[in-house]
Amino acid sequence: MSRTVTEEITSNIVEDKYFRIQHKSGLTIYVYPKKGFKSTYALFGAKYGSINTTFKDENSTVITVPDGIAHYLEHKLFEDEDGDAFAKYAKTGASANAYTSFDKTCYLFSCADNFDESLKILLGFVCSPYFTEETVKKEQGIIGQEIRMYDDDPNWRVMFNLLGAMYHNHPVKIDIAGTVETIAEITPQKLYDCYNGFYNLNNMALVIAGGCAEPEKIIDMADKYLPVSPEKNVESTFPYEPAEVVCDYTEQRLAVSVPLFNVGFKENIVKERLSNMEMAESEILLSAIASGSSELYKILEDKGLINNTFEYEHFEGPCYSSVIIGGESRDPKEAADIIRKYIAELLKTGISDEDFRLAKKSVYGMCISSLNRNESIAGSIMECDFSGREFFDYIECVKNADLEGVNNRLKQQFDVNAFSLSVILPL
Amino acid sequence: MSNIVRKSIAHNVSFSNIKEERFKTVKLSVTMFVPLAKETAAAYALLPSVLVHSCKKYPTAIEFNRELSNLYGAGIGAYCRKMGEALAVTITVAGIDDRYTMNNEKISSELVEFLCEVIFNPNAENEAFAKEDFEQCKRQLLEAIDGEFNEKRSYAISQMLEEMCRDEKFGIKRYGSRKAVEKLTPSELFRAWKEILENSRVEIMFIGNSDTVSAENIFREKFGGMQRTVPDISTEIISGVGEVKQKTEASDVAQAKLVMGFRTGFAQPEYESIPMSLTTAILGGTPNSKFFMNIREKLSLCYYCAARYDKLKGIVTVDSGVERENIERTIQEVLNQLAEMQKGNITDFEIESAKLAIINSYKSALDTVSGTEGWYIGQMLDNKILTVDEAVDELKKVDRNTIVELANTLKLDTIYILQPKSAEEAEV
Repeated sequence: MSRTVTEEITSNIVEDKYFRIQHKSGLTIYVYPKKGFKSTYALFGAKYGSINTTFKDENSTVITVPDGIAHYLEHKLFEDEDGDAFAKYAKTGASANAYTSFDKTCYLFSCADNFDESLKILLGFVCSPYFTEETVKKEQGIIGQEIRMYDDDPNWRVMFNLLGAMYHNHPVKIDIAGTVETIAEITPQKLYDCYNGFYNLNNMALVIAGGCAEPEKIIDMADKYLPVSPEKNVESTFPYEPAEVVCDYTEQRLAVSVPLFNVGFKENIVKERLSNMEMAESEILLSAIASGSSELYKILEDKGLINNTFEYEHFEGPCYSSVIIGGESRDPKEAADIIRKYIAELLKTGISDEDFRLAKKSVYGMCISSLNRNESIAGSIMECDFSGREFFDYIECVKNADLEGVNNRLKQQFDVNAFSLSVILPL
Repeated sequence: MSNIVRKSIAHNVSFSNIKEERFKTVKLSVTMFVPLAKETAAAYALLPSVLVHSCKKYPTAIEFNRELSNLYGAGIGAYCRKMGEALAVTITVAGIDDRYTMNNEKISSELVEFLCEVIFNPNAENEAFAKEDFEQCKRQLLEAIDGEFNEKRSYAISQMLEEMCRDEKFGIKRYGSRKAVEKLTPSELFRAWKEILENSRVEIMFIGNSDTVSAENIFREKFGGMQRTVPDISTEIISGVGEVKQKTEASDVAQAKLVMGFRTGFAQPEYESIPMSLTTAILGGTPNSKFFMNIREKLSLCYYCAARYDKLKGIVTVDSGVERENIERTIQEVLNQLAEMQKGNITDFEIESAKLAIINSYKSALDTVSGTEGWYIGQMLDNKILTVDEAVDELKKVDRNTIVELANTLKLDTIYILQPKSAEEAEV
C-alpha cells in the first residue's frame, strides 16, 4: 500500500496557501484554509462527465453508454441502501448539491457547523453506489422535467445548437442531461458500469476550502472513511474531430420574445488540454476583444446590436477549445458579421499595447477577487487538477503574460473560417 | 467576524463601515430607497444604468469602462429592485484591495472617487442627461423588458404577482410599464436623479479593509449640502382573500409553469418574519421539505417545487415546472401538503432540519462580500436589524404551535399557469 504525501503550495502574489495531499487511498485531496471564515465548502468530484460516453473497461472492451448517463448517475448516487443523502445532511444543516458538466461530476456541501459529520456523509454516499430497478425508474420523471425545463431555456438551446454546428463527432455537442428517449435506456447495470469505470479514487479529487480546512484533520478522516482504490486506468476515447465546423449557421424557433445568438470560433487543438499560460493568454485576449472596454463592444452597442446580456467565454475541455460570444440581439446576423470581420482585421494587426495592458490588469483583478469565495476556489482547484494545471501558477501566468504571447495566441485560437453562428428566433 | 459601525452622516443618510480583513476586495455601495409609484418607477429603473454608462469625467462608455479596467477590472453595479412597495436603487463599485495591486498602487481611494463621480457628476447638460447615453440605456431597458418572457420561470412568477396584486402598489413592475419607459425623456430622468438624491432614504456601506474616513467625508459633504426630505416608505399588507383568481396563458413551451400565490397577513415591520421564513422552508424551501419529499421524490411530478416568502409583503409564492397533464394534480398536491401542515402533521425531523438549514445560511452569509451587503441591506426596511447571532436565537425559539398557527394564515389568492399548447392547438 502506498503512503500519504502532503505538499504545501504557496503563492507569491497573495498570502494564501493550500495543501496537496496524495492520499494512500489513491485520492488527491486539496485543503485550502481560509482563516476567519465561518463556513467550509467541500467538493468531491470524478473526472467523468457527459462527454465520457465511450470508454474501455478493464478488459479493454469498448463500451458506449446512453447520452445523459453521467448526470443520471449523479442523481442516483444520492441514494444509499440506508436512505437518501439529503436526509443525512438534514441532521448537520449543510447545504448540499451536485452538478454534472461536460468533463466532471461533482458533489458538494457548504456548512457552518458539523463539518466532520457532513464530510463523512459526502465521502460515504459517493463511495457507496446503490441502484435498483425501482429507484432508477423513479428518477425518470424528475430528470424528464429537468430536461423539459432546459428545452424551454433559450440560452441553453442557443449554446447546444452552436456546439452541434461546430463539432462533427466530439461528444461535447451532446446535451449534458441527454434526452427523454436516451435516459429511458438507462438501467441499474449501466449505472454500475459507469460507476465502476470512473468513480475510482485515482480518477477523483476532493477539495476543501474554508474555516475548517485543516490538513491533518482531513487526512485523519480520509484514512477512516475512504476505501483504498485499486489503481486502474479507465480510458475515455474521443472520435476524430476535423478542424472545420459542421456548418456556419443554425437556427431554431422557440417561444421567445427577443432573438438570441452565439457565435463560435473553433480552435484546432493538437493536445488534450491547454497550458496555464495559454489559458491566461486567452482570457486576456478575450477581455481585450469583447469586454465593455473594447472597440468591438463599442461598435456593437452603438449600432444597437447588443445589450447587457452580451457575454464571452473561452470554452475549453478535454480535446476541445473554442471561443463563444453572444447574447440577445435584434439582428443576430449583422452582429455576427461584425464580430467576424472585426476578428479578421485583428488577425492582421494584433491587439495594441494599451488594450493588452488594460485587459491584463482586468483579468488579474478578477483572479484576485475570485479568491474571496470558498466555492470559486474549490471549483478552480478541481478544474486545475483534472486538466493538469496548478491554481496559483495560473495567476502567475496572468501576471507574466506579454503582448507577443497574447498575439500569438490570437493567431492560434481564431480562424474566421472555423466559425459558426447559432440563432434562436421567436416563433 | 465582521464588525459593523453604522452612523448618520446627513439627514436620513447612514454610512456603515464593515471592517473586513478576510476579503481581497473592497466594496462601496449606495442604496437609495424610494416609494414604489406608477408615475416614477420607470425613471428610477432607468436611472442607475444611465449613471454607470458614462459620467462627466469619462463622458463615453468606452472611456468609462477603460478606466474601470485600469482600476484592475473594478466592477460597477447598478440595479433597481422592488423591496415590498419600495424601490431600492443601488450603485456599487468593487475592486481589489490595495495589498494586491501589481505595482503597489493605491486604488481604493480612486474607487471611492469614481463612485462619487458616477452618483454626483453625471454626464448631463442643461438639466438633461446626454442624449446618447440616455437613448442607449433606454433601448437596453426596453429590450430587457421585452426579454422577460425568454426566462420562463421568472416570467411566470412575475405574471402571477401582477395578477394577484393588480389593485395594489405591489402589482406595479419595478420599471412601471413598458409604455412609461418609452415616454421618458433626458430631462425627466435628470429630474428623477435630483429627486432621488434629495428625497430618499440612503444607506451607504463600505465593506473591506481600507480607511473610510475620506469616503465618509465626501458623502457627508455631498448629502449634507442638500435640502433633504424623507419619503414615507411603507407596504400595504392584505390578509383576506376572495374567490381564488386564476390566469392561464397558452404558449409554445415544452413544460408548464405553475405559480400559486398565498397571502399570510404577516410581514415586516409589524411582525418579526423569521417564524414565517421557517414555516415556508418546511413547506418548500429545502431538499427535506414537504414539497421536495412528496411532489418531487415520491410522485416524480417535477424537478423543482419551491415555496418562497416575501417578508415585506407577506406573500408566499409556490412555483413548479410540470407536464401539462399534471398541472391539476400538482395544484392539489401543493394544497394537500399545506393542509397537512395546517393540521399539525409536521415531524420533529422536518422542523429541526429546516431550522438547521436556515441557521447554516445565516451563519454563512457573512463569508462573502455580497452576502454581507445583502444581510444588512435586506433588513433595512425591517423593524430591527438583527445580527447573525440574534437571528439564530430568534429562529431557535420558534415552536411547533407557532408553525402550525402560521401555516394556517396561508390563504390561496391566485393561480397562474403558463400552459403548453396541446397537440391540436400547436398544429393550428
